Amino acid sequence: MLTFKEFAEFCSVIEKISSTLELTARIAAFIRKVEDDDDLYNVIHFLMGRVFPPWDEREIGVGVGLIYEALRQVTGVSKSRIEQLIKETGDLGLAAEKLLKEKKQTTLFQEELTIKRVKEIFEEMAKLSGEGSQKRRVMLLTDLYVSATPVETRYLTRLILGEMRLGVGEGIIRDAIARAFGIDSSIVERAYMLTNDYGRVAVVAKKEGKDGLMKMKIQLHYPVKMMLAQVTESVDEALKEMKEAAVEWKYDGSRVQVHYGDGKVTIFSRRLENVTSALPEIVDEVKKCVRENVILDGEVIAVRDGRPMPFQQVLRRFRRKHEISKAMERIPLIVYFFDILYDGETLIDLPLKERRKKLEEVISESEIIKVAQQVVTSDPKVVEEEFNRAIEAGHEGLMLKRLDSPYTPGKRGKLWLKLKAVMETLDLVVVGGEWGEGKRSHLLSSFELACRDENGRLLRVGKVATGFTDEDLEELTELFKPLIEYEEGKKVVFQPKYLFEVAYQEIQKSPKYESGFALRFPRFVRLRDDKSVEEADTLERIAKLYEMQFKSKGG
Amino acid sequence: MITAIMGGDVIRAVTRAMVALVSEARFHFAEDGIHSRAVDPANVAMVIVDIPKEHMEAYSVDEEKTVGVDINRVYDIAKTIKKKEIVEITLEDESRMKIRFGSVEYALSLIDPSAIRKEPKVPNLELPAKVVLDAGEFKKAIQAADKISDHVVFRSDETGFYIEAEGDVDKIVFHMSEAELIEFNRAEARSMFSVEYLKEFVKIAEAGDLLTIHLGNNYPVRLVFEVADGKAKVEYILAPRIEAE
Repeated sequence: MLTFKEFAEFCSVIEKISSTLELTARIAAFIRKVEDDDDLYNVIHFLMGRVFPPWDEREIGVGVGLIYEALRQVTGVSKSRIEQLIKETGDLGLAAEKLLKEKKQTTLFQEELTIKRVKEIFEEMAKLSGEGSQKRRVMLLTDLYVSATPVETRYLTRLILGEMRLGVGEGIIRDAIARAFGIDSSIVERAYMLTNDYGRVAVVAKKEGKDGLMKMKIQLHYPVKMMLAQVTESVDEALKEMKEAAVEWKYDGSRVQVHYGDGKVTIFSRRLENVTSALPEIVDEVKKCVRENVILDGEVIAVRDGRPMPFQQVLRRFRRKHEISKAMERIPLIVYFFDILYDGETLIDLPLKERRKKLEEVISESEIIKVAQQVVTSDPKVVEEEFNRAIEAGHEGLMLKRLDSPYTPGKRGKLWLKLKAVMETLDLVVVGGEWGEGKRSHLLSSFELACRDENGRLLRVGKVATGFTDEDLEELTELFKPLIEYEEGKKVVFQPKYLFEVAYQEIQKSPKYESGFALRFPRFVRLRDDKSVEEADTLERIAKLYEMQFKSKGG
Repeated sequence: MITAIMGGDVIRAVTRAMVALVSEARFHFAEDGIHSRAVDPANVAMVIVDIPKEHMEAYSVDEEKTVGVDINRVYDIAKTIKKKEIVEITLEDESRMKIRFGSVEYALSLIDPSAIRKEPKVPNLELPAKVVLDAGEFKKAIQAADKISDHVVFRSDETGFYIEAEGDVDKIVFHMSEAELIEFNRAEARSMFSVEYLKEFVKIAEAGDLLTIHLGNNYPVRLVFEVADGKAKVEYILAPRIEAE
């Protein structure tokens, strides 16, 4: 049985390592030694700062406030002292560790924390709801902290906040599993794309090796990573490569993966979050119009008077957990399905042409449920006409797909290309902000943005303060308030969770931010809460865009 | 059905003792009396409360029961009861407890015991020094120490029992020799404790109550109070503080 202390001490070793290769090797060596399957499963997720797999609906429901309260109870230290320590260390994990080191009061007994016990407490927290649940969470949290040594406290706190600061992303986990069990990385990755759970992949790799991974299959009600498209600059080039393309509109909505089987419908967002409860009318309609035992890929759009409403409206529905029925009246939705992944057996290796046939077979269209229209052509003129029609109808542009393409989960390849009308924007993580002045002092008025480096570390690239409506700011303030780690004067630091899509005039080199770049005239476009922190734009991409500016200017 | 009749002083002392550490606790209504045990959220101190059957005015149990009690609420009620008043507690099921005194009948809704932090085992402690003194004297010493420091040292050797508190500039020493103590085994021991906890503990103590202290070296202390004229026993176990080098 692995103790949490062994895990925490391992984390403190790898936290100092910046070489990806060494990090991978160390993690491989560590996970190879984990004997118990459940421990292995949990360790894989914990290393990535997750308690549950990303698509799991469960949440432990502990924010910064409850952590403060539990630390106060365990150490007897005031909230202001804790806040002061966070300002000094810049990290709630380090602050908590320091608090425990300073503690002079001993305890009557300490239980040794195991990985299993920690997970059990998290599961218990996730189950709580209703009156008294916050109090009970603090109690469970206090139980954890009381039994933790200082180094355990550091990683326990970070794990709860979902941010381990180890620089361990999915790529490193994939390679570490491959290395630990002597299996090719691409096989590990494939198993992951189908199951979305590196914990399960690691356990199967350990127990059944390569063959076990090869046998892993798509399963109903477990999300599959969505296939992604590359941006294309020119229709001609795209058609030259594809010869003949399946052309579909790129709807301005929100991607959904719909699973229907065993009498149950489950809907996942692009981030693979379970959003079923936000879309009751779609659930009902799927049951009426779709043959059972399938997994479909599609786009939900909000419509008013036949025109799509801003994409934001759909996302708003995903976030909303209450008052769904009110929202149903206000935001009518339509789903356009464009692909099928499963119909009792895995279909992803079939060519698009055949999948399309199956898709048409399993759906009988209604007001709400549609099969996306498709035009097969090799004529650039036809593509252009379609493009103009899509834009006129208020959508983003077109998708061009190879007719012989398999469905490649999680891959952004050339098999699918997107043709968009709008300029390049960046999706950046919101890491901080500032309160407004005067009348707006109760609202957050500007936000600090960061990109990711190759190890998943967040590097700031600038601040955005324009492009918001008053309504946006009110909504964003509500959204970000629970994520505040600490405040200093007007400045606030957030737990990284949400992404903004921002437009800008130019990327400049700048020593002001850790990334080495800054955005000139950044403007808020929208909240991208369909994307996770791991999907934020990278430093590499920003550097590339920076270089490209010179090319396009001819310099 | 369970019926317990006791003096107002007993329920007041017992609930005050629990409220010092926790807001909720399990109470066991056993054949031999009423018992409760709880640890504060930080695992620093434990309280053990016993009201033996023979010290109640009347006590009848047809089936033993464990119930969950919101201590803050019961303490608020208990405060309004006069010491000499007779209190009747009846328990028909696990959902409600009735407390009757004077012309008041208070129906208290109970908490699911499984939602309360699990009860600790009583640690097995080897403590060399045993000191018995008047709890009122101890209370005075702790209240004085509280004025100048957040921690105190308990110390005993053949010259007697000492409570020492050192502030930034001031120092208080409370000393009782063997002759002043009710019982003393002259053993050597020394540990440091938090005044924050002790000052809560002494709130139940009154002049004339007996207090037995079991002290070790950098080890938890046991403080056994006999309260409400010896009708109830309240024991606290408190973990030590680390003495700065």
